[in-house]
Amino acid sequence: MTVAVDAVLRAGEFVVRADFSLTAEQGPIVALFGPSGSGKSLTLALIAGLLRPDSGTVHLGGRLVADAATGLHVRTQDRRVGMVFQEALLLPHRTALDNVALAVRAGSRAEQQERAREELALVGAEQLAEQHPRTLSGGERQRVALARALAGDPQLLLLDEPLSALDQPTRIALRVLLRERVTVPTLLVTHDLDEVAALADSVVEYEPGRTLGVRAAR
Amino acid sequence: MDWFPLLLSLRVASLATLMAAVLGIGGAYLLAKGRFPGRGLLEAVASLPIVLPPTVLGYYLLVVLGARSPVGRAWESVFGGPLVFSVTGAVVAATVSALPFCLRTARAAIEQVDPRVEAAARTLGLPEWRVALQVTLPLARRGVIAGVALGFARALGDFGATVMVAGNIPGRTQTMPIAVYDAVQAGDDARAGTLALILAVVAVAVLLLVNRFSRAGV
Amino acid sequence: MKRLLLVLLLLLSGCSAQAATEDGPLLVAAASDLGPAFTELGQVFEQETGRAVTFTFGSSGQLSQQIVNGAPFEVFASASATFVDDVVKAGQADAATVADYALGRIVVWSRGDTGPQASLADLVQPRFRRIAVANPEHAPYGVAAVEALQGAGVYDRVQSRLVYGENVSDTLRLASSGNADVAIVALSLATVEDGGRFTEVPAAAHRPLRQSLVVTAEQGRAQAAEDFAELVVSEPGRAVLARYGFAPPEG
Repeated sequence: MTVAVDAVLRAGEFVVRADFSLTAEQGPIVALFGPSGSGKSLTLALIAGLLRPDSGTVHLGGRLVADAATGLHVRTQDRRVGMVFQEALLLPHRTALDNVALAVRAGSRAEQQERAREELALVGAEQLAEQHPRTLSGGERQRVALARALAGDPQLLLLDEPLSALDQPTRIALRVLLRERVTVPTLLVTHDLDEVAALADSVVEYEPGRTLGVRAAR
Repeated sequence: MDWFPLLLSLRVASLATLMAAVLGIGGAYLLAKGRFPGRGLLEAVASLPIVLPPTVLGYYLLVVLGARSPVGRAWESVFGGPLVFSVTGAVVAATVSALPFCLRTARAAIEQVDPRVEAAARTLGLPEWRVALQVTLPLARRGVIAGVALGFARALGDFGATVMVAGNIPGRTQTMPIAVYDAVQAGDDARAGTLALILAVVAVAVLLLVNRFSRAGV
Repeated sequence: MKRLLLVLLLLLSGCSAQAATEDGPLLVAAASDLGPAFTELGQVFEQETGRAVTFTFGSSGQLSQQIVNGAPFEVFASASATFVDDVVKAGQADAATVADYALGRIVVWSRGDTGPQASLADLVQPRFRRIAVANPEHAPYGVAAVEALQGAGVYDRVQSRLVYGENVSDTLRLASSGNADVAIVALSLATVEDGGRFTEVPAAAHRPLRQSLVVTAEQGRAQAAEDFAELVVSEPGRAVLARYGFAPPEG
C-alpha cells in the first residue's frame, strides 16, 4: 500500500508540507510522530479527502486522488479509508450496533447488522451493541469507533491520536487491542513516544513545515 | 358559533407549514452547506417575507399569482378557478409567510452540527444525501422542529398577506385572523373577543405540544 | 417522499376556488358605509328568494382591486362610480348592469353625549388631536372628507392631525374606541352607532358621493345577482336605504 502526499496546505497561518511515500513491507502501522501543531492531523485529513490541497497532489494506493492543478478531488466516500479520531464522533442518536452497521457497505440490513456484531466482538465491545454512545465510557466509545472504521473494509486505516483523550490504564488496554487487531496499512498520528514504541513498525517524524522521512521503528 | 374560520385556519396552516417545512429545511441545508452562485440572492429572497410588511408581501403575491398574471392564467386553465381568492391562495400566502421562520431556524441548527461527525460519516462511505438525512438533520432536529413550530404559529396567525391574496369571503376564505378583523369592523366586539381567544388558545396549545414532543427526544 | 408530494398536490388542487354551486349564497362585495343597510337588504332578499347573501365589506378601492384580480364576488356595490368603471374596464363586469343606487352623505362624529357638537370648522381647535378619515387613496368617503375640509378652508391646518382608517367603518371604529378624538364618516353608519353624536356636513361641501353598483357574476349565477341588484334600486330597496340616511341617486 503506497501513500504519497506531495502537497501544500495553507491551514490558517502555517504551511503543511507532507512529502512521503510508504510501502507495505514496512509492516502495517506507520506512526506520524512530532510535536502538536506540526501538521500531522492535517496530513491525515488530506489523505482522507476531508481537506483539499492548495497545491500539489495526493496519491492513494498508486492512484491520484487529489490534484490542485486540475481541481481533481476524489470524494472521501470513494477513498475507502477508515478513520478513528481523538473523539469517537459516533452518531449519538443511534446504538453502537447501528453506528458500526452504517459502515458496512454491502449486504442486506440483516447481513450488515451481523457483520457489525462480529466487528464489535473483535474489539471486545459486543455487550455494548444496544447502548447509545452517551452511556459509554471514553475507552468503550473508541472501541466502537475502531470497529466502525474496520467494518468498511478500508484499504488504509487512519488513526488521529485515538488514545490521547483516554486515561493511562485505558490507553494501555487499547494499545494492546490495536496491536492485535490492526492488519491493514495504518497511519497512526501521535505525540506519545510510548505509543510509538508499542505500536509502530516505522516512523515518520514531523517538524513544523516539513517531514523528516521514514525510518524503521525497530 | 361558526366554526368555519377555525377549521379553515387549521387546514390552511397545516398545509402551509408542511410546504414551508419541506422548502425551508431543504433551503436551509443548501444555504448551510453549499457554495454556489446565487447563494446570496437565495438568502435575501428567503428572508424577504420577514422584512416586507405582510400587506406588501400580499400585494406582490397578488401580482405574481393573480388573474392577470401568466401563473394565474395557467392555473385557471388547468383547474377551472382562479388561484387567488381561494383556499389555495390562502395556503400560498401562509406558506410564504412561514417559510423564513422554518428556514432560518433550521439553518442555524444545521450550522451548529459538529462537522467532524459529518466528516466521520463520510469516511464510512455514506453518500452526501445520507449524510444529510441520517447524520445532519437528526443532529439538528431540535432546532428544525422549533423552526417548524414557529412557522406553524406564523401561518396560523397571518392576516395581511392572506387577506390580500385570498380576500375576506365568509364561508370560503375567511380564516380566523380575518374573522377577528371582520368582527371588529362590524362593531361586534363580543365575537371578536371570542374568536381571538380561541385562536390564541389553539396557537399556545400547539406550541406546548411541540415543546413537549421535542424535549422528549424523538 | 414522492407520494407525500402527490398527496399535497391533490389536497391543494382540491382547495382551488370552486365555481359557486348553483344554490350557494350570493357573494356581494359592498362598500363599508353600506354595512347596516345592506345587511337588512340581505335579509329581505333571503325572505323573498330563499337564497342567502354573504357580504364582504371594505373600501371600494380595495374591493375593486380584488375583483380585477379575480375575486369571485357576484355583485359589487361601490361608494363611487370610478371604481365600478375600473371593474368594467378590466372586463370583469357587464357594463349594461351598472346602476346608480344612492347618494351618500358625510358627518362629523364624536364620542360621548356631553359637550358641544363639532362641526367641520371646529376641527382646527387643538383639542382634536387626532381626526380620523377614511383613506382617500381607496375610500370614496375619505375623498369626500378631504374635499369638505378643503372647501371649509381648514385642510392645511388639520392635515398633520389626520389618521386614516382602512375604510369608513374602520374610521368610525377609530373614534368610537377613543383612539381618535373625532371622525368624518358616512351618515349611514353614524345613524346606527350608539355612544356618540354627529353633525351633518352639507352635501355641497364635496363632490357628490354617487354610489354605483354592477353585476360581476359568472354566467350561471347572473340571474341571482341581477335580482339582488334589482332589489337595491327598486322602491322597497330605496326605502330601506333612505332609513339609513341615503338620498336617492337623482338627488
